[in-house]
Amino acid sequence: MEERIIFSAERIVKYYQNGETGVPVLSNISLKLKEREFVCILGPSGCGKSTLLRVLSSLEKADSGTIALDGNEITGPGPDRMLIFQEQDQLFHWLSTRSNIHLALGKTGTQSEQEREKQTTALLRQFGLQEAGDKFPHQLSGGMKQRAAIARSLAAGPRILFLDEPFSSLDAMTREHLQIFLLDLWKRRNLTLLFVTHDITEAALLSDRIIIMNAEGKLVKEVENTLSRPRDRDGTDLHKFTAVLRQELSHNPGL
Amino acid sequence: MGWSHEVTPSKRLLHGRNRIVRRLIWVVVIIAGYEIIRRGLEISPLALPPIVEIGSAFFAGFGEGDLLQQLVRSLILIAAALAAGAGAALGLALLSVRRSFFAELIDGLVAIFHPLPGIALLPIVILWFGTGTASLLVIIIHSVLWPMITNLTAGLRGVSPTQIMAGKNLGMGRSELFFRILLPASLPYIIAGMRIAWARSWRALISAEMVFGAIAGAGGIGWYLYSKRVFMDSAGLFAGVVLIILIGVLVEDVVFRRIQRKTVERWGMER
Amino acid sequence: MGKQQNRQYFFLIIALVLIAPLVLGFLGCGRESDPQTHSAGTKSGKQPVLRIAEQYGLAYAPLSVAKARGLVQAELPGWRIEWKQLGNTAAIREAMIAKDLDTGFMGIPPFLIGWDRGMKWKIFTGLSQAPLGLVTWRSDIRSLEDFDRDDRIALPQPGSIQHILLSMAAERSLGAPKAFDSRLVTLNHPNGMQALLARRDITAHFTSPPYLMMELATEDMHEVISGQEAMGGEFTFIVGTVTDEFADRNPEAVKGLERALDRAMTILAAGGGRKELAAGFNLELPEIESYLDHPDLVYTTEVQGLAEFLDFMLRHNFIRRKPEEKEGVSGLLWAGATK
Repeated sequence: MEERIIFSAERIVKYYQNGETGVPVLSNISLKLKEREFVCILGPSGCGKSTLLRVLSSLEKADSGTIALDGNEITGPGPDRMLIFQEQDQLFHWLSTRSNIHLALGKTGTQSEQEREKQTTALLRQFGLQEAGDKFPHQLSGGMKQRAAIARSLAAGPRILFLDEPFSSLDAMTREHLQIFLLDLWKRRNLTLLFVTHDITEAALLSDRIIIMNAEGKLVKEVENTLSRPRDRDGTDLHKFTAVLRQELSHNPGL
Repeated sequence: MGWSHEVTPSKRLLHGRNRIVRRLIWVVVIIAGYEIIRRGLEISPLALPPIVEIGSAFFAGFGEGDLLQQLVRSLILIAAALAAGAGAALGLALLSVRRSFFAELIDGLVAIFHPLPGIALLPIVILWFGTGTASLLVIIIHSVLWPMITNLTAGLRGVSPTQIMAGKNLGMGRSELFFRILLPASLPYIIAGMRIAWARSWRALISAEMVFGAIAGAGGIGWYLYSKRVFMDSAGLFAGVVLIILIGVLVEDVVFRRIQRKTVERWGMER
Repeated sequence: MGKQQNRQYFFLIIALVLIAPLVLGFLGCGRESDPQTHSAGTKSGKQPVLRIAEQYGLAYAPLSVAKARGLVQAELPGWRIEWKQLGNTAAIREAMIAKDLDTGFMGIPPFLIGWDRGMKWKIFTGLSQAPLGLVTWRSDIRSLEDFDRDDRIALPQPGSIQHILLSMAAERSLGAPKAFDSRLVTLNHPNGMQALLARRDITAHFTSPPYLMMELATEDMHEVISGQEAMGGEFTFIVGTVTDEFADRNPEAVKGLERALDRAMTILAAGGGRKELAAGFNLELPEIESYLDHPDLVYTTEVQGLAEFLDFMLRHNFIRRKPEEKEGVSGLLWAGATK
């Protein structure tokens, strides 16, 4: 695996205004992502993980700190970093699944309409959404919606994909399916992923590296996930590793 | 398959030929009831003209072109004023949503003018704009603008922040964000606003026309009613009212229901 | 199939449920406006009622004085006098059709239109002769021939006395009675005056007192043609009308009203009643007096110009009904009238 750093964040600080005083949500966060790396940020609910992802994709402004893609500092949002939201209403409900994807393709720009149509069809097929192409978001199941959202994000041609607890509102079976689906996608497409979750098993199953975030919005610990792939959800290795993670988490107050 | 489970029996009842047939039955029932009451009560034919006379006045009005011409004039005025009002409302609503500085001013204006009937403004409007088409337009736009602003502001404020972020994430600029996200996302409110605006403007126009009278014989459907009234042509008066009802039903059914079905209902956005 | 049929019965029942109150409502209305309970009280034993439409304006001054001084009540002891305010002539006619009103006051043409359309009513008195006139601010307009294609003339409503007078004048001077019909703007008197004074889209205004006087008192305004010139003679501006139903049952009441108006006219002629009018119109006393002293404003029960209006309106299809051969226009006047 290549070791090239493609994305970095330096000393990100963000306060939320609370009366006269600001409450820190992100305290001096620095992180680096290597190309084709699958990194999970693990932390309790409400610790600022979502805020962090929005700042990293420039959808929210930090009070200080910088972010850089391929070593170049960036300030505005763009399809180079796509964010998958936890909310299921991220698809544009007035467009069919196909049009949602097609809209994102339009952004990358230079291909002909015919080519774009072909690409859209290919994406729909890859994501198992052939039947859903002409349906509207409200007619899709939760799992299909999140798959379509990922497909749309990939259509935009990002360098990195940020995922904000994308599977947390799905039922257990669907979630497991989508975890495997995402791993497969990551390998086939050589993606770089930053995945936020509060689910220890999910982090252990998916990631190369786990960064633990505490309730004060600090990154407190990094754990390399050396489990060999493919991983077995019910295997003893994974269980041992989640036990270690749980141990780590319990050291930190507020978890 | 995808659709069939959506179409519940109650929806099937509402759409399609069944509904038209049922409506026709209703119309026949009402007409028959009217005629029975009229004959049974020996009321002056000036108060309740025979249905046959109303019918012939209706078709004569179309045949001679007067009723049709006045109707077309009224509808053109409404369309122009609705477009202008909707455009202005959109601008003001955007301003109100984007800049809290203006929000207070615009909210204030809405609070002041929304409850003010257009007819109450008539004397002032005549002083400022005379008695021509301009005054009519001002009165209709007044009746359209404020409810549209209220609805559009609510619509724009109600757009999911996630979808706005998703749009920004895709690299959309301000105008793209507006046309591709904000506008379609607030469509239910826009349609609701248009519905209110249409009903209000239709009423405002007819009452204004009845007060305003005609210029060079062109006074719109309200004027048609008024002239039938002063010449005591009750059958013509009833024919005009029937036409106004028909237009109301037609616009609601053909225009708004259809738009509703093709957009909001199809997108699962029904409020 | 069975379900379908059930549904149809359901709708039929709904239809009946909805129609029933409609029918009952109409029946109820009919009963309520039955004249026996209201006006013909002499039979039912209740206090009899005379319902009069009250109107404002200098031409209605005898009515205002009669009301202010209780003259009608004095002539009709035992009667209850109800004064009703209605917006315009059309509303008065409609109220009379609805049996909500026994007597109303208006110009001769609106009366004729109602009579033509089958209203059963008569003129029982004249109320006033008044100066009417077509006023303009354009110094170049001295006669009807001077109006351009684009010049708009404001007047109250088609079929009003102002409209008929303008048509008469147009026939007289241009040979075409409908010459101005495509250039008319329909505005009530106050709005018409405002529009004229704005000197924008209205070139001239055919109006009556006091608007006529107010307009003529404004700089540059002058009269193109007067009502008398248009008619080619004297005519009654406002007449009193009564429904046949009421007059046939209560001739004494109509006569009493007539006497009360006569007394009011005597008072006005002697210069009385002016304070009441000033208060009623919310005008200064000198202003009222200047209007009342206009030589063409005459209060009289005499009815003039009925035949001329009838003839003109028949000739130009404003109306179609002809009076009975043997009666002539007198068939439109109440037979019980004293004059």
